[in-house]
Amino acid sequence: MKRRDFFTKAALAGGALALGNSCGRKIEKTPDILTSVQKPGEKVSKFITEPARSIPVFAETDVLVIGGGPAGTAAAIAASKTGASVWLIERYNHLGGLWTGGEVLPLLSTHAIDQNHNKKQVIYGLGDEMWQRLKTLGMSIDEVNPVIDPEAGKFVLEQMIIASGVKLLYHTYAANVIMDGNTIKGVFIENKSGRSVIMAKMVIDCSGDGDIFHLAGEDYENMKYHIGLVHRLGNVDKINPNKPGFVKYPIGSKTPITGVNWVNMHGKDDQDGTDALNLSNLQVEYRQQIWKDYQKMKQTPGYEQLYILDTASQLGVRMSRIVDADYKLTLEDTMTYKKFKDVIGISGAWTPMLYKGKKVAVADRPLWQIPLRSLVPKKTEGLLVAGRCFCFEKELVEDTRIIGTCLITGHGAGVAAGLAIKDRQSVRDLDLKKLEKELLSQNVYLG
Amino acid sequence: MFISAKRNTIRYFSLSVAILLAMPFGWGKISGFTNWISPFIMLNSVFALKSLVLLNGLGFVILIATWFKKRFFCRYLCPTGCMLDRIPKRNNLANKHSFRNIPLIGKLLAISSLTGAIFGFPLFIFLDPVAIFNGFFNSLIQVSLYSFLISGAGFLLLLIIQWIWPGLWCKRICPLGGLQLLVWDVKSLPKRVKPTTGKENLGRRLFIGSAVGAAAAIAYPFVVIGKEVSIIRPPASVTPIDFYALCTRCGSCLKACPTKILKQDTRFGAGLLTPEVKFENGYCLETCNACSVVCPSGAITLFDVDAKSQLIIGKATLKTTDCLLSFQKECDRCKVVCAYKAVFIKAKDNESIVLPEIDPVKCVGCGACKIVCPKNCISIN
Ligand SMILES: Cc1cc2nc3c(=O)[nH]c(=O)nc-3n(C[C@H](O)[C@H](O)[C@H](O)COP(=O)(O)OP(=O)(O)OC[C@H]3O[C@@H](n4cnc5c(N)ncnc54)[C@H](O)[C@@H]3O)c2cc1C
Ligand code: SF4
Ligand code: SF4
Ligand code: SF4
Repeated sequence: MKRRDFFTKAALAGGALALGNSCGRKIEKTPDILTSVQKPGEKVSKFITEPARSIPVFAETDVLVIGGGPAGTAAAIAASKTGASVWLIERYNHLGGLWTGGEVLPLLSTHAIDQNHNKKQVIYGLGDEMWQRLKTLGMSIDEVNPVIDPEAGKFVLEQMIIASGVKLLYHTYAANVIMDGNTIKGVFIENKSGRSVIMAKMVIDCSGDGDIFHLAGEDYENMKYHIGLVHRLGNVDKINPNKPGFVKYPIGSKTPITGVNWVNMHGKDDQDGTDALNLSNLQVEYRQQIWKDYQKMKQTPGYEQLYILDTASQLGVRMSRIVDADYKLTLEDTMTYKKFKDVIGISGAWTPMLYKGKKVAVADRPLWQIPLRSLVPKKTEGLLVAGRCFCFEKELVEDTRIIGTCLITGHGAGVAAGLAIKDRQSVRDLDLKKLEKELLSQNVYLG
Repeated sequence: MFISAKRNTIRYFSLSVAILLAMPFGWGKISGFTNWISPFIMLNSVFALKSLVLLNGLGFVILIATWFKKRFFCRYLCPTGCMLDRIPKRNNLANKHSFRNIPLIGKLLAISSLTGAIFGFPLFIFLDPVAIFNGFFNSLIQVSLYSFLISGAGFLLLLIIQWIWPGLWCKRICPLGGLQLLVWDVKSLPKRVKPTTGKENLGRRLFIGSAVGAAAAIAYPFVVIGKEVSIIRPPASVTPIDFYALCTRCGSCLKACPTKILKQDTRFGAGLLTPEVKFENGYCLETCNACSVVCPSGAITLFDVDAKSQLIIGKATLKTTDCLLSFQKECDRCKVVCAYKAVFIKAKDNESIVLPEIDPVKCVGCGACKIVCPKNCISIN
């Protein structure tokens, strides 16, 4: 009995001990040991004051569009269709921006799922017209997310600009803004003729990098993303895989021209797309790399006839500035069929996303509305922003920066600017009924 | 048995609350909350882990209540007991069984489980009636008949026992009942000046129970080791072997998980009905600690959301043969979704082709990259 008693007591004591010695149980974060190593920032230390000078007024217009990418081209034509006079300026020698000059050939996000779970085309209006014209030329392949030929793209977009009566100025760089208080009055431009001014009632920033809202003093986030350089290969149809010694190399993807592939480049991550020296260095590095790879391929049996058709004339800056506008479009908006009173268009989806911890496959991704407020920067009157730099949550970037979406925001901005001028109103006070009517009459899909 | 109207009201009220909170209705952090009131789970957990969480206080309060009122828990709170009492008695059998000649297995189970717990392995925590009750409701979210039956098996078994031998479970087997009787026995110890036969068994019972518990707990790892199937557990889970013993199989974590990545292991073995992480359509959210909050036994250790970057669920491995980037297509999904910045996309050997790489130190195995990859390049082990 004694021994048993002992065990009894021991068991009880053990329990008491366990209780008595107990401490709180919760795993908390222990501080990270790793601290990030910061590079000393290169700072400009020397400044020179530019003497004041008179600048000639090159033109006065209702609407001035900066940048002739997918967004800018659509914006200019749309504004012109409302009856406004429009100038479009572009720093390079072609329209289409990254789509053509950047050789990023697939027009993505043309389709998405509607509320009845049907797959639907959502890119209509000017984007669709460009697509149909390219198709007629035989310069577009695939029925969803079509791939186009860049030279045909430049040609078609130019044709549409000419037909719309938009005045186009190539080889011209938007260099600064003219502000009256918080209202933008015009833009300083630089080109072979020197520095001059275009005065405008409305300016639409379609520069991709948000050069204009940056100069106008808007708030924005500069998103560091990967930058690449696209190139095209010729004679890919003459590659002979049966040659002894053949090695399979990645050679990019099909284009509408037989034997020509476009080769995408992811490039380096976390790059600043607004740092000129960085852009120049990347350009050199990438072109050297492309040639190195090409030479290696060409020496491989089977690839003898392969050649580099061209490297893109625009460096592939995927993202840079994202403006702070009246409304920031959210991931939730795009996942929940959110409806906006001031909807200017609808875009689609091309890549899987995560939402609330779950996967949403491309085949399940809803179409999503874009409100005008996401194009209206917070501070500046008379300015709209369209293309890859409008206002959205970063989680959305893969859908917002895409050509289809850029065409839609461009189209919407153009119509809004045109109507604001017609009604002598701020875009913030636009009659939304009229906006909707005009968008529909220009064939924009609004759901 | 006569039960007063007032007591009945309390019992049905507790039962309703228990049912409501046990239903897979997306209660989040209060899923299966009634598990916290079981003193049996509480003591097993506290003895095994030698530490407490705040909610253990609830079980403690109930334990103290049983000191003042015999079988306080059974009388007022136990959802299982209340349910079992609702099973219609077969008339011909009514009151035939008093089970006097069957030993109080419950006390033995309780004492051996708690002794086992002190040695690290609470042997019978899974027999807790509240856990069995809560576990049953997981069967409602099962997809196949097989998993439905397995998930609900514990409770269904109790119902069958009750139908055949009404009262057997509550009166003789239930370890939570046994624990309460032990408390009562200890309380009445000083009164027993002269132990009478039949009642003097407390000491012997404790002795046998603890000896069995200790022996079993010491033998336990040897029995289980080597038989573990590799399973991905929720974040901050205790070691695989401890998990088998500590998990009550109440299924609260499954119900609490907002992304529904926790599934019941339905393979027969030591891990039967324990939670397993399956990354099919969801991942372990960087902002969530729900399973650790609801786990009543500490098998999933309570953790702070901030600590998630240090809690390893598994490790992602990547096969780039199908990766879109190796075909020069636009993709960076895996990198973008990784909240722990463990994915890098970079060039290999001075080439222009870049491919994703996973930093095994930073990766916690949350599964985000695995589920988003359009080419299924990633797996978590
Ligand atoms: C490598 C890469 C791959 C991609 N892949 C795809 C894809 O497969 N599918 C897809 O849909 N999208 C893809 N994208 C994204 C898409 O191509 C671009 O985001 C889209 O073209 C942006 O359109 P935008 O009109 O906003 O700007 P941009 O196309 O960049 O056009 C801006 C125009 O403004 C001009 N400009 C800029 N600053 C000034 C200035 N200060 N003065 C005058 N002119 C100026 C530029 O020269 C340019 O022509 C990719 C992008 C990259 C870089
Ligand atoms: S922490 Fe992870 S596994 Fe646990 S409930 Fe949350 S999402 Fe589910
Ligand atoms: S599983 Fe993937 S997303 Fe999650 S931490 Fe690891 S690498 Fe990142
Ligand atoms: S998500 Fe998949 S296909 Fe895309 S980059 Fe990552 S591994 Fe490659």
